[in-house]
Amino acid sequence: MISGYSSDENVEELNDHSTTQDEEDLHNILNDLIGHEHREVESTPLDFLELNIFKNEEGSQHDSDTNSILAEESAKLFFDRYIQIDKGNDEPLFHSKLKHFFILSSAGKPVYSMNGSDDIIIGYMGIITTIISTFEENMQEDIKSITVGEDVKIVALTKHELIFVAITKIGYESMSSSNNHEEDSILVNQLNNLYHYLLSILSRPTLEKNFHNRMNYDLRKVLTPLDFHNLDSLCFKMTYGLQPHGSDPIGFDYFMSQLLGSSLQNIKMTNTTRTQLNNILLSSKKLKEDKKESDKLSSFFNIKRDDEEKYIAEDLLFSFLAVSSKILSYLKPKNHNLSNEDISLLISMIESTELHEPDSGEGDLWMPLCMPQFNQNGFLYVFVKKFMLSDYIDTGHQKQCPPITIILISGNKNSFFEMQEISKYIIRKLLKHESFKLKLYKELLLSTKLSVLHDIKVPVIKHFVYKLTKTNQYIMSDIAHYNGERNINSCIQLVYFYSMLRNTKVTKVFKPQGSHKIMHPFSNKKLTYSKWNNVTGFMLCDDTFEFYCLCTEGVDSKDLISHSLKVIKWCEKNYKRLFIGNGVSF
Amino acid sequence: MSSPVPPPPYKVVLLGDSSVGKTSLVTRFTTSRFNQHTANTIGAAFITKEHSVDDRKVHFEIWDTAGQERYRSLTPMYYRNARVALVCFDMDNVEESLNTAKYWIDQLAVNGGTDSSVPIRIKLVGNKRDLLQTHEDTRRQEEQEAIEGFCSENDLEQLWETSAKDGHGVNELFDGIVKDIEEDFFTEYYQRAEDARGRSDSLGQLGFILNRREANNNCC
Repeated sequence: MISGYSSDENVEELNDHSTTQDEEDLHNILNDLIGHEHREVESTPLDFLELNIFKNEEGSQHDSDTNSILAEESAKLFFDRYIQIDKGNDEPLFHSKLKHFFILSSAGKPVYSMNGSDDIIIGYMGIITTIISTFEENMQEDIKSITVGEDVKIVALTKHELIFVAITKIGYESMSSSNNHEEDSILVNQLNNLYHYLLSILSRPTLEKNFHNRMNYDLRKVLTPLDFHNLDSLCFKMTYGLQPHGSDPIGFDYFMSQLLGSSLQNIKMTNTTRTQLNNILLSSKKLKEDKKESDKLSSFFNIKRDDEEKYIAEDLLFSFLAVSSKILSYLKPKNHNLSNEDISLLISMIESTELHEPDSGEGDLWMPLCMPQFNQNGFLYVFVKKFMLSDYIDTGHQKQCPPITIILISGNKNSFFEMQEISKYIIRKLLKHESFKLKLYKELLLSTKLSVLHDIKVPVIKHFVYKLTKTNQYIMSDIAHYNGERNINSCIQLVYFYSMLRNTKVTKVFKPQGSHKIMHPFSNKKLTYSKWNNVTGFMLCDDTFEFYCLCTEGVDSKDLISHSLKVIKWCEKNYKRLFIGNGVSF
Repeated sequence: MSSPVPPPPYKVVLLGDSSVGKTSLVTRFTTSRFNQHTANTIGAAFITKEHSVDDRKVHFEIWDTAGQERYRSLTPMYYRNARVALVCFDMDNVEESLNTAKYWIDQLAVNGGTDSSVPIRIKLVGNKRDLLQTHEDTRRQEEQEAIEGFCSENDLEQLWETSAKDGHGVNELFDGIVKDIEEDFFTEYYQRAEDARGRSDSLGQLGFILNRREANNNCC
């Protein structure tokens, strides 16, 4: 049961001008707001069933006597019945699923369903189109959402000839709308993500043209098994922070990025290394065909060449260096940008191509992709190369850092070989200096396990997220620290608690003393403090940052505040190491 | 200054309907492995591998293209300078995948010879041979006739049967490509390399130059 609260009544509104001891003041204010509570709580880790995250299902009734093996077993049964994607013909199973997504044409033809076989869903497609078209005809407006009883929420989105529908029975998703003024924003965003996926592979003209020619056009014929796999994966990640049926079930990065408003996840890297990577990308853009080389070549093949030098990277628009789907460095033109939504789509797409063959990193990929926010009417061409830095390092022991992914985006569909040339140049540069190579390797090894919690020494905090508002980028600590394991249970809990933290009403922080009417830096801070059983959640944010953290054991609010402030301070101090900012421009 | 001359690059493109096993075929050839759950290719993948048969050695540059119709507009770039096109079909789904094979053979006839001086050599590859054992005799008979008819209609001298799953015929297919290369191709290449040795100070760059030339031809 939710036992959280926000301490609205404690808000004091006073102006002040004190400039000293900001830190300590803030500390005291927060303490006052939260109040003291010395409640002893059990510190045994609970699973998501015991925490009653999905409270409306009978499977979640728990016997206090059940031993841990039984608990694990029932959690698995619950997961398979209510959560896991199932495309079978079992109607009761279909209805027990907590979340549904449908994509259909306005003529009622199914395109995609997260759960259930065609036989099961076809009837519902008819109902959905009827409701939507009736509403449209009578109200001259698109239907947005329907709430059924207390715990079922249906949200619809119509785009061109397509209808996107989400149905949720999950508390943390359906409650967000009642407390949040942006109506149903989370679910609408989810539907938009599905729409953007279709745009990214087809582009808008293709979608429109096909439906224009034939109203009963079957979009499914154009989609590949990989597309359906990707849609499944999107739906699952957006809802539960998990991958369906994957060997590594965690998809929490994507979930968090969505929850924070399409924030881009960054990883820690020293400023000098990052600057060096930026410089390599920048110099690759200026790469020219070697004059001397060309001359030799020309005479060699008796080819006449124009005198002017040619930029190899003429068609190159954006470059990324990434590791484990997180961006290390980013190059862009001065007057253009890729939105975080587009970047996250790009990264998901690249991830999906390697999902089934993680070590066949031999080939260079060349894929057309529409970036819906950049230009939904056309394609960009994406060159992808995986590069194993470990192969070039004599480490003695077999520690492998994850591969570096070189992503080069071109506007010209025939520029593959130029992009390949640039990627070779980048690799040569990465390997050129022994010391840089080793430094990069060491930092990449560390980056995959953000051990910030150990670095900062804040034992009370088990997991935290820090978002920089200005650039909409975030970092977070390793999932493994929460509950000590990187598993489905930890992931579902994080999804739930962070959703709840986002959903609860925030309290504004004012500084309660002083006489002058000057705005104090604290005056725009907001906070939320919640407790659920043995978990405590804390959020503090202002115009520049958002900070969220979770503690799993009985924790004194004083410690929580001082540790949180410590983390925030650390993030501010290290912000150049933590965030890529706007990348480099040419 | 005695660094060996790198083997000549030799471009191969795989074409065919989606899910006939083009990626699996390449993966089998380059890594000797097979994955039942290979993901659909988006766009195309460019894979290189050195391969020798007897005393001949080439540096294969293989374009593994996506079979999906929506990527077809990109394909001309892949076969533009290719010397060999492996047109693949699925022996477990002969009728449909042969239809697409026909499409590609026609495309190659229209576009293949126009802007490249070297004619593209077409090899018909029937993949998923391992699944034939599940076919009944009468079905096998009919499919056999369909394939033979297809070969004679399109002047294809030989059918290459492969199984990316058990590896049957895969190396033979690529060995065959190397064996088919005219001797002139090698003598010319090494003659040019010999000439370049005289002019160039940095022989390490030679492969780069030779590759670059091919690359440049591709972007017109």
